[in-house]
Amino acid sequence: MKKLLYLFLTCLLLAGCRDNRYYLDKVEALWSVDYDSVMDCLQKVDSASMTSDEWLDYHYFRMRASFGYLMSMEKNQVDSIIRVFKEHYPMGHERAFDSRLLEVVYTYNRLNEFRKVDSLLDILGSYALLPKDSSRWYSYKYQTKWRLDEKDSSLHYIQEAIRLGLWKGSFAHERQAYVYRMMSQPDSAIASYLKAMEQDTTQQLFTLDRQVMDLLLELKDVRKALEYLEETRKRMRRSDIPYYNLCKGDFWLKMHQPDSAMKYYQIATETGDGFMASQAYERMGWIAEDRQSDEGAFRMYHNAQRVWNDTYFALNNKKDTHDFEALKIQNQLNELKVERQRHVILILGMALLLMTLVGGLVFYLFHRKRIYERNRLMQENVMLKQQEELSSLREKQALTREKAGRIREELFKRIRVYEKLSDAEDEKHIQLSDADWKELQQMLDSGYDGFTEKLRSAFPSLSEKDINFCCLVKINMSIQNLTDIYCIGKNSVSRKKLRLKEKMGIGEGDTLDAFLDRME
Amino acid sequence: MKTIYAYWVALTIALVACTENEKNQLSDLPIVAHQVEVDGQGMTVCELGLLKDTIDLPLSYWVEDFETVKLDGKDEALVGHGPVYVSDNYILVRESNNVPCKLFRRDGSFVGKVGSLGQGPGEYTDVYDMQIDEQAEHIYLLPFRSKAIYVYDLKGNYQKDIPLNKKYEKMMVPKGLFKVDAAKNRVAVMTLPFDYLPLVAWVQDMEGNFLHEVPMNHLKIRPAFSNEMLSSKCFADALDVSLYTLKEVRKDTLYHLDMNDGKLYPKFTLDFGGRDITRHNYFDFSTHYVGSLAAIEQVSENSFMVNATCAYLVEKESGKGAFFRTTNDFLDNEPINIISKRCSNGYYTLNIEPAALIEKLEKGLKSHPDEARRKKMEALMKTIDEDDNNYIFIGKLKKQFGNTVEK
Repeated sequence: MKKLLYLFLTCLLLAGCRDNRYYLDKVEALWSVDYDSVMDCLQKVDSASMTSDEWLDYHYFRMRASFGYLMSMEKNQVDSIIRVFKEHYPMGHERAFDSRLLEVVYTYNRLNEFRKVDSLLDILGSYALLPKDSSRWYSYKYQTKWRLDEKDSSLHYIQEAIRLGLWKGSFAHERQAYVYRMMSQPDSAIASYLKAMEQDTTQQLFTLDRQVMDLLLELKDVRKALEYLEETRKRMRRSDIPYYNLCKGDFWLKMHQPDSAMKYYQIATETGDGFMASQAYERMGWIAEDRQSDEGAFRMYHNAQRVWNDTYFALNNKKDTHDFEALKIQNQLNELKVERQRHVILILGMALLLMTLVGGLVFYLFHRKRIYERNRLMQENVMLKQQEELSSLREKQALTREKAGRIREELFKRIRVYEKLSDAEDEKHIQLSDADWKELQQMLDSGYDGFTEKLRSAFPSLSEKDINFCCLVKINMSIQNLTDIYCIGKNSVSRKKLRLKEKMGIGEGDTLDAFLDRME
Repeated sequence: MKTIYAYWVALTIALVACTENEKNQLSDLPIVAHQVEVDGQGMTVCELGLLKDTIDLPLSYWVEDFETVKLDGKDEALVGHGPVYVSDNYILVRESNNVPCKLFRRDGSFVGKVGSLGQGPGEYTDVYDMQIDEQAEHIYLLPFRSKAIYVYDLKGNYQKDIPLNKKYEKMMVPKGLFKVDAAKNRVAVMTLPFDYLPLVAWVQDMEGNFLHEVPMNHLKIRPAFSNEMLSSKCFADALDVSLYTLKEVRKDTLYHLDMNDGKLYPKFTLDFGGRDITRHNYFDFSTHYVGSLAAIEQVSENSFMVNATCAYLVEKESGKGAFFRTTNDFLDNEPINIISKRCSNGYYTLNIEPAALIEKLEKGLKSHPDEARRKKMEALMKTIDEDDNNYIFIGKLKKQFGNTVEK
């Protein structure tokens, strides 16, 4: 029990402890969420017990989080970081290593530690993210050299990039031209600008022309500068005229000929390009200021601002109109979509309704058929039962007739016997003794389940003779036989039956024979 | 949204009516207007419900000829596609974007700019109305928010002001139309009737002395520069003006401001007959009134976009009228939106950039039925360069649509 308790407490303790990896992972997660939490987590890291992995991440995060941290580091500390980086990230993990080092590069840049940037770039040059034969590496290098005021080196990297074909388009030559210019090599700069213009036919073109013109002026080659400007005029479209006049005004301004400059600036203000007009007014303001015409300068600057604002406002209006039209089209599209959806819903609804109707109809028809079948089966059952009943009735009737026939036969046997005995008389006469009558009754009672008893109980007014007569009728004794037995005529037999029928209360539509036949 | 929907409904009714029963002869048209008497003068009232027919009236119906003027290609002469005022010997192009108006001769040669940008004497930012008086050798400009009409010579040099606020010192015309009759020393002015102004129209002399005044009364509107005014400027003794209100839509009337008695006479209006009122304006073509109906959408607080327009005309004498369509049968045979928009001082003008003109000519060459016209277009096409300055097309309105002296 105690062991279990200790184990439980140990687990609890361990669960409550957080290791360095936990805090470093949390820093990663919180990096773009909450800076204070990031710093808090970093402070909780136990620097004494870090693994090399944790050491890397820790210093990396500290560098990112705090510029001052890097500033406070000695060179050897940064070197050791880099060394550990290199040890820790073997080939195959360049990207993680490179991105870490690039962060250091950016940090150094922000701190204006360009020498350190330069060294790091050399290191990075052998890795995948920033190899030495990449356009980006050359870009970083020339910029870093420029910042280190090593213009020759900067130029070297630009030229190498161009030579290796890493930089294409006018940009490369323009960069080169700029460096030449800063190195006070205007001829080379002009040559570079001209090369840049050969490769660029965009809006940059006239900016580059302008650079050339300015360089020529710096060379004091006024005639060439003017010629060059006129040459560019031939290449210009109508929409470039305002810019041309602005440039020409600048040309004359640099020639310290403000009146000529004003002329061209004035044209630039009147050619419909608001942005050029604004700049031209501004320059006219400079001229007015140089002439110490405060009012004139104020008017020109005021015009510059007004024109700029109006142009900007007009552009905004156009944008508003464009956005409005785009929104309108979008609304129309949405309306069409909604309409289409409505149609789809309508069609689906109608289809659903149709299916429901069809389904209902089918169900109804099926149900009706089932009922019909059921009724038919019931009717068939009824018919079968009726037929069975009929068959049993017929059977009974057949049995009854058979019984009646047997009884009749018995009776006729007796009659024959009697006939044999009374052969002295010519007239036919069947005389039955009481015993015969009794026997007859017994035969009928046994054959028809107490026939005579039933008769007596149902018709108490019947006499014995009536009962006997009923027995004879029951066994379907023919009228001839009855006349023989009762020695009466046929009519008398019929009248006798009628009288008996009335006595028994049998209805008009029924006969004595049928009534007695039905009696079981 | 509901208002815009209502405009669309009303315009749709009009447009549907537009397409019924196309007829070709004005004489065959039904009577759509009647005369009423207002202040002892006749006013024509057209009933929208009676306008059912649509006729085609090409540009050649309105103008006698169609002259092409290629403007001077100098840098300083470059113009935008602003409105144009044409006189017998000059073309004045009104610019926007803080560029001064530019004056050309009828052959297209550049004379110079008229005034300049600024707030000094003769300086302005934007001009709303202009007039050339060749007899007096003056150009008159009325800028936005102005206290005076600026006077220049025929070289564009500022001469003087015609003050408009001599009586009401603080009065500034936000947007106005005017007519100067230098010979009679009369100036007729009508301004957008912003509710804070004391007057809507007046007649004064060139020195600024008010001779007749027309108070604001029922014409006042809330200040909004999106509203416009139209005038044919083809009447010797009167300034005809139609207001075109965009923000406040209401039933409006074409007026004549008589320069002799200074009274504002209503001359023409459209009876909407209980239908929703759409944005509309009128134009006086001397023997005909032309009106337009427009469906306009508000894009932002101060800008509007025209979606569709519909024009109709009413013959003054007979009251017969119909909707009509105009195509430019001198060029591409394409529809002209609203002809009155480009008419002033007895001329129809079209100021067009060369690239747009090339496009029109290409269309016209493909589809125009008249071979003679196609040949002219072909010849013109060969001379056009996309980097040229603008081209001005000038059509002199026929006498019955142009200059009429009316009292």
